[in-house]
Amino acid sequence: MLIELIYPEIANLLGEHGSMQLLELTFGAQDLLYTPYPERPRFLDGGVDFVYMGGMTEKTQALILAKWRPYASAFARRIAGGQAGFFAGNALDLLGRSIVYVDGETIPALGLYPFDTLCRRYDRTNEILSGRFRDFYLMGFRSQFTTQTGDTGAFPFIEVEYGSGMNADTNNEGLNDKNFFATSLNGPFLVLNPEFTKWLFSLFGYHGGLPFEEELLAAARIRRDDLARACGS
Amino acid sequence: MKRRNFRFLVTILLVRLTTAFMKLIGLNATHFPGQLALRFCPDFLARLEKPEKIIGITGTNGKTTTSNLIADMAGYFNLDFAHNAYGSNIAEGVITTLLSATTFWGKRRKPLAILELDERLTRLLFADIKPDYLLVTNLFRESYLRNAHGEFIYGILDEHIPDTTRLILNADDLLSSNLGRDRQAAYFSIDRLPDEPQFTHNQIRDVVLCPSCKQLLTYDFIRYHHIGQAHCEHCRWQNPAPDYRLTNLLRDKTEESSGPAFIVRSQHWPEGEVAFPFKGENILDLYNALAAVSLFAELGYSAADIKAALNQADIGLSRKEVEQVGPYTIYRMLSKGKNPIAVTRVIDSLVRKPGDKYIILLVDTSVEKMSAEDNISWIFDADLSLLKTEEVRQVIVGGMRSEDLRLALLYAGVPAEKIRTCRNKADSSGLLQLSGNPATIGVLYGLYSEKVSRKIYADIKQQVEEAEVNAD
Repeated sequence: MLIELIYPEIANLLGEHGSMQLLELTFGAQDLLYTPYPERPRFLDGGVDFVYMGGMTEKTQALILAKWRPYASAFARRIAGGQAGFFAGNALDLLGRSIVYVDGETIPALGLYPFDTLCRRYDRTNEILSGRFRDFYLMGFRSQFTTQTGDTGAFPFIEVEYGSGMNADTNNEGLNDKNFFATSLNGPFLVLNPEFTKWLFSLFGYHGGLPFEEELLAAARIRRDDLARACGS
Repeated sequence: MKRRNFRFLVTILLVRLTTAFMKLIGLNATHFPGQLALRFCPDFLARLEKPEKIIGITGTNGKTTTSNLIADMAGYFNLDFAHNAYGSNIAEGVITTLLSATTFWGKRRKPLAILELDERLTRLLFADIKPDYLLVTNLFRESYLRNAHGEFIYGILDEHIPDTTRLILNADDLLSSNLGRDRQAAYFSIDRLPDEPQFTHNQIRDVVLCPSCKQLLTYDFIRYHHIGQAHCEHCRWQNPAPDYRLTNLLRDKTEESSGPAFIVRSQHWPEGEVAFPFKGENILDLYNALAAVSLFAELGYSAADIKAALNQADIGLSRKEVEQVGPYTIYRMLSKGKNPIAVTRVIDSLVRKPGDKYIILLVDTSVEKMSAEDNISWIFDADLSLLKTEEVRQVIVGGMRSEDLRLALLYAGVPAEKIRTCRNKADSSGLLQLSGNPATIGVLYGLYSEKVSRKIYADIKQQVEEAEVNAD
């Protein structure tokens, strides 16, 4: 197996070390490829089973996009070809059409999906969220300055049942295109949702267990019960 | 400053009467007067006359300890000042503090204010308060819910620091030191000390790219996280040259001092190099003390006077409690929840103590009803791997999200058999299994766990004392 972590030294905000540790403990150092900034992501040239990227600062988003725009069609080809991957936090923003700062510039993004990210620098949204994808109960935490506009439901991922979606008019959070997933949620998402994570890994042929799986599932159950109590359901 | 108007005068009358009443019935009037002022007169701060000189202290970590130290030293110099030691560092607390520096009707009474300022809210505060001096301790990731990331806070400061403000900056902080670019600034720095490795492994290092040209930086020395020395091979960027350079820490009595001392070299002093007494315990205390020395030097005090002031000052007592009980040294230390750096630094300072360690983590910020406050992302960014050493005998976690913290500990490599958890923080002390051998017990608490941490601290002391009585 080859698992690629894109720019882990700069794309690691908001608890992403948790998901990265999960990948490291699941697959082992020999199967992990750490692609440092500003190298071209390896998965674009094939041979990578799973690609992962975490959240970053807004300036880092702009730097990465400046490097990546020429790769947009390669991104699209790989995803269309069934590349398994997960982009967490504001790595999702890179995939839309643009990142619009309400008090400043607009940064063109990769243009792979029909949404724009609207960033209000001092308007931070923090919430806890739960919902469904297929038969999976999913939960995560939202902590961001942004909302997404455009066709945010074109590639739906999480059908939100508690909390909000990518904007006030949708109950969809994130995107799913074949075997590729992205969500603004943090948490770290793969740690918080072990049943989904196992299924996600099965998409590229991994059928083993997760590290400390029993503890992961137990913690997930407690979180789910606590949230159900908080929702009054 | 805006002129005082009728609304301001009515508000200040109301605030004064309310404050007097609160004090009469024994309440702390540290925040509410400011809150009341803002409610009735939103531009109250703009209309309130300020002291002639304002010293601001901001940053992610260490600002309360450093502010208190500076206030302590200012007291030694017989300065007449207002200080938000007991007030909050947001607008309401700052107003309450400044009210104490004015006459009944809001005219200037005290010549100086020493203000700890919330780094995120400087965006609003600096519209009405223009510090003459602003000391920035450091900038790191803090609460993800509130502060997002260090670069975001840097941007706020960079955009809003008044042009007239002279900055005192930590040259070793590869983020906040850049605030001095194109501004009047003095810098302090601590050399790599003899017992420090050249590089330390830290999960978080938020300055990887050159602040100037965004190419990869080359690190020459990493003290922790992005505190250290680095340079850029591409554009020649490097740390600023320090005005106040701590060159050595003398841990024992020497010719220069009757106890531990740190040596600071500065071209601004005729002596060149001066030994200052050091009453702290760790590198964080050292940075705080050096920051205070640098500030008073910039204010024009002689090195000899600063030394005398520092000699009578206490450092960090408000946020740390230490007691020897039987064979155990028990520490109760503030390490703010949601702040991976604060928790990491406190853990680091505890695991450096010789011998066995027992750690109780009361840093979970969740409450009974689950909410966004339960976001435990931050704990996965803390360097919990520091706790996987043989000498750490037990790690006890209290709080509603304790099973999530267990995951973070397991993923960091802490052996499962050493981890005990409880949902109710008050039950934590009951999980402690002491061996009877000399050891350090660390109780780490977040701001909202202060009360329960006192209970745990008392419970542990009682447990140890009872065990000793039984042994006799």
